[in-house]
Amino acid sequence: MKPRGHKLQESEKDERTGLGTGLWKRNPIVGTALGLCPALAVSYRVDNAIALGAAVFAILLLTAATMMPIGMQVPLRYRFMLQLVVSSALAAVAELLFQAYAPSVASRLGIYVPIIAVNCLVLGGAEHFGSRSTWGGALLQRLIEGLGFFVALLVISVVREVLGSGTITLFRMGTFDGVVHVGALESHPASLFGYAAGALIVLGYLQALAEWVSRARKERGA
Amino acid sequence: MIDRVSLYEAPHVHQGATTRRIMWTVIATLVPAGAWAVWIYGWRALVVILVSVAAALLGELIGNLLSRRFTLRDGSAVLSGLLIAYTLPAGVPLYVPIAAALFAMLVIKASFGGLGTNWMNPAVGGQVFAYFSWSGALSAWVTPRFWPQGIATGPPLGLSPLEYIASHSVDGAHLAGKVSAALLHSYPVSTAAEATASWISDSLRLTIDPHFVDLFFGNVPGALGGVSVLLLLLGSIHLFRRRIITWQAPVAFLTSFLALVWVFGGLPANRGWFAGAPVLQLFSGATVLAALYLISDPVTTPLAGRGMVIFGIGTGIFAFLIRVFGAAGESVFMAILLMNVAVPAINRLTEKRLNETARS
Amino acid sequence: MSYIGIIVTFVFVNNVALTQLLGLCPALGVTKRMESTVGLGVAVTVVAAIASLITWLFDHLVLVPLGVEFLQIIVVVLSAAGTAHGLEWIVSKSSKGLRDSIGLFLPLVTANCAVVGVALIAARSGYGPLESFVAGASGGAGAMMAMLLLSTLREKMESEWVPKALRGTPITLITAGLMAMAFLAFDKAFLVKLIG
Repeated sequence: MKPRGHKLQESEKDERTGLGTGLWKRNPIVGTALGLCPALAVSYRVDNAIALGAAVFAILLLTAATMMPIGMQVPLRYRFMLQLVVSSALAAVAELLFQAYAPSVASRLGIYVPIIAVNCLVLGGAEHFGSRSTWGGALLQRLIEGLGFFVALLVISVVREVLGSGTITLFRMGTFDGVVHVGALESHPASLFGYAAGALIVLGYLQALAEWVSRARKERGA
Repeated sequence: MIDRVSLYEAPHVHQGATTRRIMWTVIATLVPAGAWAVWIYGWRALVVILVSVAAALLGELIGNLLSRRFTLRDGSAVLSGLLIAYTLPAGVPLYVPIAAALFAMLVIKASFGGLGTNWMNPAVGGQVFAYFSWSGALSAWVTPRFWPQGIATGPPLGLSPLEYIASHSVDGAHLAGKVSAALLHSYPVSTAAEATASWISDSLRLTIDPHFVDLFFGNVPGALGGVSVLLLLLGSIHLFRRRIITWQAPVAFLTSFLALVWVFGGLPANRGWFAGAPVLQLFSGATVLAALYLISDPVTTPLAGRGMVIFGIGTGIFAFLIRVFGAAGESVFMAILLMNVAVPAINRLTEKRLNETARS
Repeated sequence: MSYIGIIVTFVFVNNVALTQLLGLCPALGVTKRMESTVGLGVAVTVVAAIASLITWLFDHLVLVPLGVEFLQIIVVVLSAAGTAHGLEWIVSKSSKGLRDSIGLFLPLVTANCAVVGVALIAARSGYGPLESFVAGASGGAGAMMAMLLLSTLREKMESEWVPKALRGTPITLITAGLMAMAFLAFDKAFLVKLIG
């Protein structure tokens, strides 16, 4: 523990606030929309977002976990290619799984499942091939990023589907058919939000909102 | 409060009047067309107009709070609200103009910093937003006052002229082509128009179809501010005289659009070349409103005269393509938006010229 | 589909960047300078065209005969990366002009959503080899057009009038969204009527 009054460095602050910072700073909403763009395309329905978000999360973690032990054995030049192979293989598996167990979801998600192979977020972790002792922390970091991505995608899809179709479509569970109807909006939804154009606009404002909130927090904290 | 001249990109162009005076002059010239709409469509038209203007003012107010500028009194919000209402039918559900106006003021305008900073025409953008969000609601046409009694408002009659033609053609193939006499005959026409047409043929020896009289005066189901071609033209004369709008963009737009319609309009229906119906296209679908009032928005159009011509021609080309192959009524609006995207590029291309003339 | 139909589809109706939302990631960052945008756009177009063709070859000569279509994404990604590396090597041996204009951007295109996306779509649309090539080129060109248009609007997005919270990525996204809305004018119906 640092003695009181010691000015905390930025990195120390990060360690301290760990989970909070990871979910907030590295969150694609606040950050640079890393890897979100392709996922946005299917976010017109909440169940799509949940499925894709889960897939990205899983592939993100597995790619990182696979690359960490192997990464160091491979010369730097080939590391990126190897990562591509790993992520594509995982994406192929993901697509197979979707087609086998959730074909209707698979047909809606289309090419956006295999595209996870080149998702900026998934591929962005090449720098974490440090020594063995840092693997745990690095993996945790990736997990938080993945969660952040999932939450961001979920929020966007809720906004889009509520505004664009007046519903929230979840998965069938027992007698619940999965669709939550949002009263007045369902009869006259603003269909623009169902299009890609609407997705971009929604993401833009959500990012601005997040930025504004984080600024307000900083001012209060400082 | 600062009286702000429209914020052009540098170099700044000096105008004799302040922004406020210009805006209110434009609004004044639009009133006749709106009054006509209220007269032939009824009080609902007035409600739509007022609701739209109110929503635009609200949107502008919220935008002002966010950007700490106070521009409510400069009339730009009222103008945008008015123009949005003018592109809508009299029977439109009220949430449409409200949403369109709010979208226009907040997303298209305030997010970029308010008056003078936006690149997309707010009124046109708001209308297109409404179209893609609630396209069905935008066909809520109201029967005009002078139509023969007993004409219903719903389909198949009571459709706007363009919709009527489109519904009777194969894949809209007739849309820009000469309309067959039979089709024309089956569309309602007012007795006043018939009387006028026969008077013209007697005294001026000119045979015109009475439907065109209806279209010219604005006695058809259509957009509030877009139907009365006559009143829009009259209003714009004042704007031209005061140099509030320039002739380049409207003329370039109308020339290219109508020429394309005339030359190619008949092709999709296999009627050959030069078989288009330019006059019909001119008088319907709010073409005139767009040409005179929407295309001449100084903030979102090129600076130089040359640029305005390019802008007009581009709009004409897109309007033709979309009207013939895409969504008929709103084609002009979408064309304007597409050209809005190209404006900075156009400015850059014509920039050298502008600097040279400024120095001389 | 006819070649005109393919071009119109990938550039206007289903613009890779504005409708499919692929290839926006680099566009959001790189749109600072016009020259960089053109360079990146050309790189994307060339790599996408070649990669689509290579994917078709692999698909029909290897994957389908062996019944292992599920490996498609691996093939696509590797052909994209391979094409990018190969071109990089070729460009490095050639003129400085070519190196400066395109060479710098080829590494960025190695794992680009637009390239991979277009190749995937082309492969799954049942095109022939030349059609796949044209589709790839059109997709890339469409992405380039979107990026260029976005970069010309840069001044509006970076103006000091933009509210603070919206500056940077948010207003860029909103701008792209409004552009996409304008492009909605070109929809399936439009394509069908145009091509007949």
